[in-house]
Amino acid sequence: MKKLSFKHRTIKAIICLCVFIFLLIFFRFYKINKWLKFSMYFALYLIIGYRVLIKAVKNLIRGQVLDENFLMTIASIGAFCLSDFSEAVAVLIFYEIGEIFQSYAVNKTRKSIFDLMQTPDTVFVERNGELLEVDPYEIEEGETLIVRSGEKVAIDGIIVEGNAFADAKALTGESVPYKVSVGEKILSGILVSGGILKIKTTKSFENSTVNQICEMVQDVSDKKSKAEQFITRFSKFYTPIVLILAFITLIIAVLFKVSFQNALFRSLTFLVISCPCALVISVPISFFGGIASASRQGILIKGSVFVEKMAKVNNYVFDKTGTLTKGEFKVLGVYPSENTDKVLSLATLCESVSVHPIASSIKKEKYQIDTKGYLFEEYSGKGVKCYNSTREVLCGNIAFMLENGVECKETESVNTLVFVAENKKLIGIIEIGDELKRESVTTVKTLNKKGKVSILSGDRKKVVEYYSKLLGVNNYKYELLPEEKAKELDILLGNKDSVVAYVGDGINDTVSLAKADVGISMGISGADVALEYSDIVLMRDDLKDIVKAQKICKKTVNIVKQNVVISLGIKFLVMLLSAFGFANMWLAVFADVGVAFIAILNAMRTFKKINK
Amino acid sequence: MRKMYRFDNVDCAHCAQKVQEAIKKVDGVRDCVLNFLAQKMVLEFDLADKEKVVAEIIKAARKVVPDFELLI
Repeated sequence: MKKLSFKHRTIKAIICLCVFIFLLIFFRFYKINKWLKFSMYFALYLIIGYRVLIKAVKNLIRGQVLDENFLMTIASIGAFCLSDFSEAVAVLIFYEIGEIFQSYAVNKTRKSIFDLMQTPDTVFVERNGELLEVDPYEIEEGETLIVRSGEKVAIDGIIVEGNAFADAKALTGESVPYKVSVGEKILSGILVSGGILKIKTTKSFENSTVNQICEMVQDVSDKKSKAEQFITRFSKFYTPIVLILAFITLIIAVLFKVSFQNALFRSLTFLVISCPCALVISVPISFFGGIASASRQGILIKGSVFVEKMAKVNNYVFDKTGTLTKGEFKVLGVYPSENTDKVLSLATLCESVSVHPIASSIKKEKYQIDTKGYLFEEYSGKGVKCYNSTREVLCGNIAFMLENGVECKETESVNTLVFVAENKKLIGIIEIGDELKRESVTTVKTLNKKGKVSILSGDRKKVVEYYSKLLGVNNYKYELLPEEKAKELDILLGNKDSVVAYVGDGINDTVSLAKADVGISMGISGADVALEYSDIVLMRDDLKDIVKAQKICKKTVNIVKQNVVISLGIKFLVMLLSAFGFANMWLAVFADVGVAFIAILNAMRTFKKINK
Repeated sequence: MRKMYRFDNVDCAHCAQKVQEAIKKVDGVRDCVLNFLAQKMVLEFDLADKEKVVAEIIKAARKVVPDFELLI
């Protein structure tokens, strides 16, 4: 069958509806020959309903007896037989209107994800000095992309030429242009303005950020949310049960000496109610809408099951460094200060192999060193050992020093300390400073009201205590190795009533992110690996988005619940009325289509942006 | 072996469920998870002959939704 365009279907339905109303009014005032009346209604019936009738026959041939097309057909033909002509036509007209609306909602839902994510169909590359327009999928790693003012970057890469302003609006939902120039990393989805950029691609189109985000948000999750599992099971049983009820109604009505016509009529009405459409379609739309709305605000939620879980989170566990704090370390000073140069050059030597932010801060001091001939060993959560035949340098925390036989003492400092030892003798201590993120205090304050907040950190007791007091957190654990963090999480998860969210930036976090009920990671500063293991990604690195994410999820889950209650409630009510003869097919169809209408409109409320 | 496929013309949530069930029953398909809003599904294959199984899948899906189209 040819697919009618959406517009055509709508116009046709409206025309048929108008004709129908006209006929209703006409036949009320003018007495017409029964057969004439029948043929006019029948003509209208065929015009609006031929697709349903054809589908019913087609599917019946394939063995689908419980197909809704077939049931509608039987109900309407039955109505014709009972001389309820207008009822028969009403059934098909309103069914068609319901279908159109459903189609509209599905299309709108699908489009909602793509609004900001639109990447161009073709992009410009420079190959052998020539400017070519190609399909982004064809572009390989290492090619040169040309992006002009007003265009979006299609593939992740590094800027090799040009200066411009970048706007990550599509990724974070916020328009905050910032300057970019040669040597800087740039992500796909970013809008360029005020210049032309030549970008060397570091990934393929499929693996680039924007595409990954699209895929992630439309994830075909293995785990269906509880609500979706419910409607799956429900809809399997709903139709057969309603049909059985229809049959029972028929029998009971006849037994109670109700006229056969009347009884038949009541059962036919049941057929009309037997479609679980409203319920079944509103649930996925609600979840998808919530996820789409969140992604437009810079919050990526990887599936409807996490929307449900996030709505119930009552335990918030934070990593400290890079999550609550900026993670931008700065060398504050060296003790004793006379040894500054020696301490820093030894530390630079040791940390030359490490990519930890602490190492970066030491390297920023720009001491020249020669790593030739040295062997390096890095111990996660502890430090780095660097040695050659004559010398051994250790650089790390106090536990690392003590383990390796270096005598040293704790100090009163509330900053991160890096101890430096040469040949088992402590040479000095580097004090490294970090800062709380601007929004940390307010976010923790808000979350404290909603549930329990905890901090798990690998840093020193003094530092963790200091920051925890600043934030108003009473539950904190310090000096934890990554495995110990996971164990602490296990303890929290063991409590039946707690739904735990773990927030981290990815370095040493992956196990915890995976273990928690909801793993939340930072999008921009977070490690790539964290994005893989987390369930929710905050593209703006803004902790306040945790509160926002929970609001969106709660709203979405509420809407889903409302829709389940409304759809089931009204259906049962109409069924009851039909059984006792108080409802006719009009009411049944109205209830069905009307409920679908309400449920879908309600579901689409999740598309709206939360304003706070 | 798992693979993701895109498809089109399934616009009704109920139909999507029926299609998923139908595909699961096809010989050679270990599991099928379908998301009709995203128009994507992930299939887990049992046998090595993917081509034949895919043809059967399309057939099974079309029994439920005659206009079902698999985008390769």
